[in-house]
Amino acid sequence: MSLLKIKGLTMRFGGLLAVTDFNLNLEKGELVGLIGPNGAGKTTAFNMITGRLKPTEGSMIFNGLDIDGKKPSQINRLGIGRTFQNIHLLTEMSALENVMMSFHGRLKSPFWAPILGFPGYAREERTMLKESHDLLERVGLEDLAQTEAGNLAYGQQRRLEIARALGTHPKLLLLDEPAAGMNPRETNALMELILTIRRDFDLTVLLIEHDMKFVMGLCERLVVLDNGATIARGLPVEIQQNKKVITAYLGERKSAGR
Amino acid sequence: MTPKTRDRWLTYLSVLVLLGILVLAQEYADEYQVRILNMVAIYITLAVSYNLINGVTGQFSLEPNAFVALGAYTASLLTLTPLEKGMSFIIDPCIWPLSVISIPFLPAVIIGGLVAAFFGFLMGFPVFRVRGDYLAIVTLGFGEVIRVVANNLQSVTNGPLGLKGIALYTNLWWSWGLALVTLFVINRLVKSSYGRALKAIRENELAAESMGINAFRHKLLAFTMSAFFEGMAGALLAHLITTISPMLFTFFMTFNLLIIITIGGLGSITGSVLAAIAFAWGSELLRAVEEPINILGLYTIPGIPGMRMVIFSIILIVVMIFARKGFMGRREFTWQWLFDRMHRKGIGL
Ligand SMILES: Nc1ncnc2c1ncn2[C@@H]1O[C@H](COP(=O)(O)OP(=O)(O)OP(=O)(O)O)[C@@H](O)[C@H]1O
Ligand SMILES: [Mg+2]
Repeated sequence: MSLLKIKGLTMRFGGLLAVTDFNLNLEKGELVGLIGPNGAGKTTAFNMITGRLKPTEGSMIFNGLDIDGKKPSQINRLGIGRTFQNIHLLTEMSALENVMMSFHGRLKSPFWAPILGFPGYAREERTMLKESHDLLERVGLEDLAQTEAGNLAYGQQRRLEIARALGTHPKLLLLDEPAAGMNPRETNALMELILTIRRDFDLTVLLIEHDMKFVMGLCERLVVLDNGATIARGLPVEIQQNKKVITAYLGERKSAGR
Repeated sequence: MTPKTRDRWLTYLSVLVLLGILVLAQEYADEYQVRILNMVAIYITLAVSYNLINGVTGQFSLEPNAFVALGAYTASLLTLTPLEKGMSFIIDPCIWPLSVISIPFLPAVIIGGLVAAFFGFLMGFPVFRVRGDYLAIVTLGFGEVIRVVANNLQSVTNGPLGLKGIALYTNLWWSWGLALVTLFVINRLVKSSYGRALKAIRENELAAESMGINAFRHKLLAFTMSAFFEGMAGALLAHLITTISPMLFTFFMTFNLLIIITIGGLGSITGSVLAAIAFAWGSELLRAVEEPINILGLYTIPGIPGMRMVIFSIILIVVMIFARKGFMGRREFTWQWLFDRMHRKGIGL
């Protein structure tokens, strides 16, 4: 059984078809890339999967459950974690608090437990604290645990978002341009990180990225979007040779005047 | 001794000092001073609970006057004796079973809080489902509705005549007891994982939701809890001033609280406490400006009612210009901060 099964997913913004008839089957443990020129609809697809946008059409089955119409928090608790293209951290909270926050959705103690000082809550808080430190260490931010998230460097913020997504114990991790704004050294470390967390946390990963070296080196297969339509899918080597993909990217270069 | 245990003992110690002051006040202070102390405590309760939803959770709402009214009316109707109700309700008799009920103060206060919380929950449910500025508008309307209902539901609230002869049950122990319980509960909540979730919703609801935090439920929790404490504060208020009428619960009450929590710093519990003290005290001191002022026996400037509000509004404007985030911002007073300050000033400890 596949972990995520998407059929005919479509998103219409007024007259604009941001995503049309998007299909995707993710098997457990896969590492898949979603690529395409700017404005292709990649982030929109993520937003539909994570419940931020309600699809105009289509169905999404995650782990045997229909997730269409569920709230972002519900979908997260079912096991889909994500990071954002335009980073959404709690900028006034410390890096540690940001990660601790991600355990809250699974908290067992009711709100009166901390008020009445129940030991069960204190235990949960201790676990939360320890696991958060472990996650920070994993993404290399242990020394910056007490730093306000808003004061971290760009690459550090991206890694903090990954730690935070991991804190929600996802089965599927969606990464929206995780390498954006990183230098080559950071990008290499990130590839390493994604591979190790996939192994250690038993993850399935779907990622969006513009850095072709990153995508080709990391992903097992790719899906290419252009103007909302799926124009190609296959192994990285196949995609590199694909005429449609090359034209789509070249067209973008021309129109962007790069 | 770790700083944490030291701070805890310092907090216990200051509560003890406060209780000492209250004992002395009970013995030696005059009626007027006791009244101010009572009002200070009630304002602390109101400001800290209002701050939970407006400051900590960042959901701008405008309803405390409604919850205070609900608590005040509920508790008063429960403590008034059937005889007193019979005498007050001269236009329409009080409806059964309220007409025959009379219960002790403590359960009446708690029921007052529960009724307010119940209404908070009912209102929060639809309002928090929709995003945006609806909350402010709906809650503002709710405050007015409660007042209009209080004015017209003759056989329950006695209409514009209000309720008279409410027993003077509220004393310093009650008012400060509730203030301390409110502080204890809300402080513990805010420092817990739940409090972090509320702040996360304030800072970035999208991020909070994507981390599995159900924003709707948490807003509802904060709103209902603040309604509960505001309702109980209303119950105490009614049993302090012993006469209530719909006139008492206008938007002005909410406006005052809004000034308090804004000046104190939205989201700062200690800020709300300090500002509540300053406000309750200040409005007594400034009572003079609303009375006729006689200059050297030559002229008499007539008293201007509402002058105090003008002064408070000016203070608010000044604070907003020079300290946009209020007196405390989102920071809290901590013992550590105090020690650090003393250390810098060279006062050893
Ligand atoms: N909420 C929205 N309302 C209206 N239009 C939107 C909305 N979100 C995205 N769009 C439009 O949908 C199209 C696809 O946007 P999307 O963000 O999914 O692209 P993308 O593939 O992620 O691009 P990029 O690589 O630049 O991040 C764009 O034309 C965008 O302007
Ligand atoms: Mg995008």
